[in-house]
Parts: sequence; structure tokens; C-alpha cells
Amino acid sequence: MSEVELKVNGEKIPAEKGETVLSACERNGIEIPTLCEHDALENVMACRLCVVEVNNGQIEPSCGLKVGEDMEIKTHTEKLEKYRKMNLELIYLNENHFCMFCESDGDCELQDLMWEHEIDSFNFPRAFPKQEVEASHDFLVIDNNRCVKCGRCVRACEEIVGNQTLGFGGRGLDNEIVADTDVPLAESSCIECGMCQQVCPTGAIFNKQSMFKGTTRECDSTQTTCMKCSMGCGTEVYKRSGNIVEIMGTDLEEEFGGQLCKMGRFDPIIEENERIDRVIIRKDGEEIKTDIKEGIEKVKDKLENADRINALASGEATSEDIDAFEKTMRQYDALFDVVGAERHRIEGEVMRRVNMIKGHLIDDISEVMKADHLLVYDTSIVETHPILASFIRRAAINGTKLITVDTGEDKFWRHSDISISIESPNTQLTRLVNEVIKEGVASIQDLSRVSSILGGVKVHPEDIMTIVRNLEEDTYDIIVLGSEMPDRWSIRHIFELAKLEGSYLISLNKAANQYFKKLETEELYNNPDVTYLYASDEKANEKMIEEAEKADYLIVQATKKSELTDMADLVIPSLTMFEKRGTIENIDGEEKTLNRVFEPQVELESEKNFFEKLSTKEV
Amino acid sequence: MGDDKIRVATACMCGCSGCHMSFLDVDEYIKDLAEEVEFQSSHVIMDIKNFEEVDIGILEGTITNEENVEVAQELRENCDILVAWGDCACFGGIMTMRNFEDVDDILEECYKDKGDEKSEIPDDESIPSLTKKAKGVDEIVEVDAYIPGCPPSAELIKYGFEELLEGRTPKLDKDRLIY
Repeated sequence: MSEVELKVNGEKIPAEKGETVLSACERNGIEIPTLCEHDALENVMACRLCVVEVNNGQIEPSCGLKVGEDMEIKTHTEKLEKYRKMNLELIYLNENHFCMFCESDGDCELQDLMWEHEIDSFNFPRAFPKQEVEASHDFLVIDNNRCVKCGRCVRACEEIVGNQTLGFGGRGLDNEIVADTDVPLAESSCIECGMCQQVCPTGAIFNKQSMFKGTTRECDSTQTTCMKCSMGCGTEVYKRSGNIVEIMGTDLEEEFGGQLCKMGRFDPIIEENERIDRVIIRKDGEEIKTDIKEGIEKVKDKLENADRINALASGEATSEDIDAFEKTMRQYDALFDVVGAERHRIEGEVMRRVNMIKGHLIDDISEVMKADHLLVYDTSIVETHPILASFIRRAAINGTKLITVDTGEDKFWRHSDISISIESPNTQLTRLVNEVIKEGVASIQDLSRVSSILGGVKVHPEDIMTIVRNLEEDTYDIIVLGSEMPDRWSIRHIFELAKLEGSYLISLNKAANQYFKKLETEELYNNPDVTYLYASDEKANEKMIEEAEKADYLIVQATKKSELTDMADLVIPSLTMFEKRGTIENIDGEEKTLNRVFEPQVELESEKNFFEKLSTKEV
Repeated sequence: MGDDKIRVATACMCGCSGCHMSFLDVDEYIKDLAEEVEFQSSHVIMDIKNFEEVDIGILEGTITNEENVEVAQELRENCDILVAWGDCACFGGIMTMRNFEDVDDILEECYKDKGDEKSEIPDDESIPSLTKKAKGVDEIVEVDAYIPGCPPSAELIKYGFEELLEGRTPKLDKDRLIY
């Protein structure tokens, strides 16, 4: 884009040809009021508050007006102020706003603009249209009475989340926000990410769990990083009187758009499990609660007198804590593993075997939005890595061909072009794809041979050909492997396929913190004397339960009561995601910082410090 | 009673008297105010229900029944400057939520068979009938100054009086305006 000079209110400002007048003005510190515009979204010129006067006095919305040569703009003339005030008043009167009991009172962009424009009375009668309050959902409420029809939620749902749940229904005064084909939100395709709530300028979309706990202006806030999956999204936690009021996404770069998912935005507010606040020692059916000092002695005693020790760390711990845990456990000659590391070890082994170079693995997941073809194995990423799933949906909306292979339901069914459902294990499908690529179509033309190979597992030759045809084109193809693909052979075939076809790979594992890749991890003993399970803030998962069940003596360090702590002989308190301090490494290999939102409610300054005290050496 | 004092009348229509409570919250300012102002009628401090000629009339609350209409009209006729206090008087406020329904349906829903089988909609000359729609004051009579808020803070009420006593019509600027 070329630089031009834009004359605004008599002064020249630098602008780029083709950008909007609004963005040029904003960048140069000239404020123009807006209600429907949002940095992360396309402009739709709905509210008409950003109107400006162009050259000959013509009035245009600046969010839709492109900067051109010899342009002269006026942003705050008497005429414009009059129009803005009238527009604002009409927006307000068109719906049913009752500021005095609105959850967003004091936190509302419409209210701010009304005050800014000194509107203390109305020149038009109010419409009082009868509007729906959609409160079927557990925590998201859409109150159409307060909706200004800016469409930010509709755009966010499509442009950022790629979910296309929200839309407009009805006309004129009956116009309202609806989910899917006007079904209750709770029964809709909504994935509960809360992006609509984050961008809503008024109180039209709000969260039942946060309402009336305080406006964002009344809260203290801390910026930190979400630790619920390996995306490591930036969050801003609003708190008041020791409670979390609201969590907002802060990664505003183009691809993220400030997105968070249910796990990062709502779960921490809703979660209600009992906190582990003291050390619990269980012996002969009795339970003794004691302090950290005694806990340390007890752990030391158990570790010193054991031959085979398993140490399993959660993937939801900071790099510093995992590091200290590993170092200490090694001193006791323990075997060390991290939840999610097994998958990484398999990948390493497969890569050696198929002679694959690291370049096939993508270290920037937003690349999926640039791919021509996307082949997704295991669509559970919709639940485990929701932000990556949103990128995949957006890619599909923008023309990327999406092929999914899943043993269960295709969770991308609304967006996938081709959905292949096969019974587990899906290793056979990819194996045949490889065969066709190497040896030609003839290798699967004999259907009887195919069925014999498959040993009764149903795979259609058309599915095989679909994958072959799509990957064989000379295009930018990415294969995404979800974290729930357990079997070695599937992974091996898929990696081979990527190598054969020159496709790129994104392979996910269950750990939120990818720091473990820098440490040595190994398979644990099958019959350990003592197992130290550093579960941290992670919910009990299959791997942890499996290891816990093997143990003779089980030590569990966790934040909340769970089936793991019920099984344990010794329970140690841990710090929550919001009490920790440190860093984590996300899926792209970037280091993200965790800041302390709340002071620890337990007798621990940090887990790193705790592990150092367990050390056999004097520190 | 000093003859040179500014005469003020206030009234609450369909409202909660919260704005008048906010007025009482001006604390010791009420002493300064009493030196310059004489209240002809104000339901929070005296029991005079009719209006005489005053300089400033102040109304709180929504217009929801025929009596409210009369009060608004009577005060408008008897004052030079009419001030609307609070969201109800300025915009209609919370009472306008009844505008979504037909007034007869609301009465029926509220009274019919509610106490016992004999309960019915009150119908007596002494009870003012409801207007079809609940309205802000300026939909019935002309208003000169608006001090919205639910309720407006004591500070804003005080600011309103100060402006009036200086001979100006109060107008809340963007730093003061709040609903």
C-alpha cells in the first residue's frame, strides 16, 4: 500500500491508500465514536456513529470509507454531532434499555456514548418492542432487549471462532440475535467459547456466573496465560473480593482475535471441587491432616526407602516447577514421565524409523489457515484444542478443503468437505493410502484383497482414493493429528504419508506445557513401590489414574479433591493456575508468562521451592 | 418566611422517592439551601398537597396514572422552571416495563382471583385510573432541566440547586451525566 496524506480537520496526517479513514484517524490519535466496529472484526457500517464529512460535505461512515488521493475529512462538525446524537438516540429508543438494573451498567459502550454526547432526554417516543431473553444456556444469556444490532457477536462467531452459530433473525423491530435456525442456545451448535460476550458492547450477551459481581471497571485485573491446553492463550483475569468475576482473551493478533474457549473462560469460574488445603496422611483407614513441614518429612522418608519410584508430572505445570520436580526425583533414582510425553516419544521414534526431517512439523499452528487441503485425524481437537479447531473451521469457511478421519462422530461435520468415519484402529486406512501412492491404484482394486487386509474393519476404497487424490495435487497440505490417537502404527502411517506426499504435520499431545520436550522422559515401572503423582491443577485423566492404580504407595500433589486424591496414601496441596508464577512453552515453542492472580490459599510459596526442599542435597 | 426567598415545590409521582432521599443526602447543604429557598410543597418534609405559584418545580417519578398527569400539569402551570429528577421522570424508567403489555391485561393479572375468589380489579372513584402507557414527564408537559440517574447522587441534586440559584438552567455535561 502506498502512503498518502489525508487532511483531517485541517491537519495533514499520514495514511495508507486503501485503509479506512477510521483506522487512519485512530492511529493518529483522532477519536471517532463507534459502536459496531471492533479491531478483530470486519467493518459492517451498522451503527453509523463514525460518520465523517468528506470533501464537499457528503456524509460517509468512516469505517467503510477508503483513504484516497486529495481527501479532506472533517470529523467533528456541528452537523455531524447532530447526526450522531440522533443516531444514538434512535439506537437507544429502538430497544428496551433499562440501565438501572442492567448487568452492564457502568460497563457499557452504548451508555458511555450516550453520556459522552450528553443525552439527558429524548426527542422521539420509545418503541418498546417485545423481545426475547434467551436464557436456556447454563451461563450465556442473550437479552435481545439490550441488543443494539451491531452484529459484533455474529461476526465474532463466524470470523474469529468459525462456528457460525449466531445470526440475525426477524426483520425491523423484530430483528434479533438467534442461534442456528432460531433454536434455544443450549440446544444449538454453540461451543460455549464466550467470544460473543467478550465483544458485545452492551449487556445484551452476558454470563450468569459473572453477573452483578462487579463491572470490569470495579475489578482488579491481572494478565496471565491459560494453562488448559498447549495453545497458551493470553488471558486477563478480573477479580473482586477474592473471586474471579470474568476472564477475557488478550491475544488480539489477527488470527486469535482475543479468543478463549470454555476451558479458559468459564470453567475456572464454574469449577467447584473442594480445595486440598493441607497435607493429608492416610494410614489404616485413618486420615491425619498436617502441615507442609511434616509432609516434606513423610515424602522424603517414603522416597528414601523405596527401590522403584515412578514420578509422573502433569502437563499443566510451569516449566520451572516441572524442571525442579524432575531434578529432585532423579536424585532418588526415580523414573520420570510427563502426561503427554509418551506421544512425543512415539513421534520421535517414528520420525527416526521413517527417516523424516523436523521440517515436516509445523511450528506455527496458524499456518492451517493458509493450507489448500487439511487432513484431520481425530476430531477430538474440537474439545482438547478448541482454538486450533477454530482455525481449522475458519480455513474451511475460506475455501480450504477439509477432510476428517475419525473413529467416532466427526466433530467438524458442519465444516468438513469429506468426512471419513472408520472403526478403530484407523491405521489400515492410511496404510492403504500409502500403498496406493507407492504402487498405484491397482493395489486396492481387488476389493477382496482389501477386505482381507482389513480383517473385518470397514474401509471404503473411495475413502482411500479421496485422501490420495486430495494430497497428490501440488498444493500446500497439512495433516493434523489430534492428541487422542494412541496407536503407534496409525501415527507411523500418517507420518509416512506426510513424507511421501510432502505434506506438513501438526501433531498434538495432551500436555499444556510443551517444556517437557527439553527433558528426558521414559516409560515408568510397571510395579513401582512409590508413585509420586504431581497432578498440579490438572483434572484427573486416564494416564494419571492408570499410574495411580499401579502404585503400592501413592503420593498425589493436587489442588482439588478428585478420585486421585481419594486413592492416595499421602496428599500434598498444590497451587492453582492462578496462584502459580512462572513460564510455560506453548505448541509453537513460544515462552508464555504466568502471573500470580491470587495469593496462594495454601501453605506453599511455589512448587519449585517445595521440590527443592525434598531434595536429598542441602540447598 | 422571607419574601425574597426562591420558592420551590417538589413532588413524587410514580416513583420510589429515591431521588428525594438523595436530596436529603445533601446533608448540611440543606441548611444553606434553606436560607435561600422556601419549600411551598414537598412530600418528604411537609404535608401540603396543592401547588401555589413557585419559581422552581421539581418532579420525580413516571407518569402512570391520571393523578400523575394532573400533578404534572398543575405544577407546570404554577412554576417557571420545571426540573425532572431521576431516570423515571427523565426517560420513563423502570415503570415503562409495563408498556410491553396491555394495561387491562396487567390489572387482571395482578388482581383477579389473586387474594381469594372474590378478588377483583379495584374500581372506585377515589382510585386514579392507569394511563395506557407509562411515560416520562416530558411526554405530558414541557421540562426545562433534566437530572437523570437512578437515583441522581446527592452531589448532582446539589449541583442542580446551585445552578438554579445562580439563575442558570442546570445541564449535566459529559463529566457529570450518568444514568
